[in-house]
Amino acid sequence: MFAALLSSFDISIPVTPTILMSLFLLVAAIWGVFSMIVRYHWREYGTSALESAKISVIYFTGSGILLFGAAIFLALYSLNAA
Amino acid sequence: MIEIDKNERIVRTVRKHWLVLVGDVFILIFAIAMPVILLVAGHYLPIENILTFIGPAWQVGGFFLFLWLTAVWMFGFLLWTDYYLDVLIVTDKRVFDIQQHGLFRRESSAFRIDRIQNITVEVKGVLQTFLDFGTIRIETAGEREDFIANYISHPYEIKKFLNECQDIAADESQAVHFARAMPAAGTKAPPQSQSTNPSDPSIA
Repeated sequence: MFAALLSSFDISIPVTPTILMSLFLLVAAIWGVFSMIVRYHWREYGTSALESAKISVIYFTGSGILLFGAAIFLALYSLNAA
Repeated sequence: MIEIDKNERIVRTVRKHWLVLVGDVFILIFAIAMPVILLVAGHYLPIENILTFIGPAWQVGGFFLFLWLTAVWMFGFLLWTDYYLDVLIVTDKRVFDIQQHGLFRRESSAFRIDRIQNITVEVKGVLQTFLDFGTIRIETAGEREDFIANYISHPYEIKKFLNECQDIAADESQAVHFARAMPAAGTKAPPQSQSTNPSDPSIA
């Protein structure tokens, strides 16, 4: 029923690389602000400097891989669209 | 930063039991599984009628998958930070109770170890008994309300440890009093005035 309802609307949203890039930049900006806040908390309120350093390495490595993955797909899509 | 003195030393850090994270882990598992659910739903929903792709749709899918996983990753670390910063810190002088609620609300209270009057441990139920966690209630001297820490790992061991710290603090306090009293005992005693009090035992 929901599918039929969606089909009845004459809506077409073009998924352009520009839209995806804007979305990527928005997420990257949120990630940057969030990272600064959590890093501050770990550094200032953490009980061990070594633990804080370890968790920072894990967090930034994981984030880097995920954002890099998103960037790769964005680049591929942009190339194909061009 | 934890507001301890320069000459104060952290002797133990106590966190809640890992079981408190189980609910959060389930939320994260559900969040990670969400793209799969959407993928299945995509077969039944006419997404192609709504979205117009310029290139291959799977690349857009991959892009959104990685963005979603980045968001889940951040959320996971938010939950972990909340757990990690919720801590009981025992120094050689005081006990700090730090409660972190989200990122922008933090409560920190402290009391001196030598002010502890009673420590009660409460382990309720099968889960707490087998996984060795429970509630610690600490009564301190003064009008301050009891200090209560829930879901603490190894509560009996913590109680024993706090009792030992209390004994050491009491011994040190006695030693300081004794050291202060000793030089006074070594000096010449002040002359005693003639007592006229009949109850004075020095008057034979």
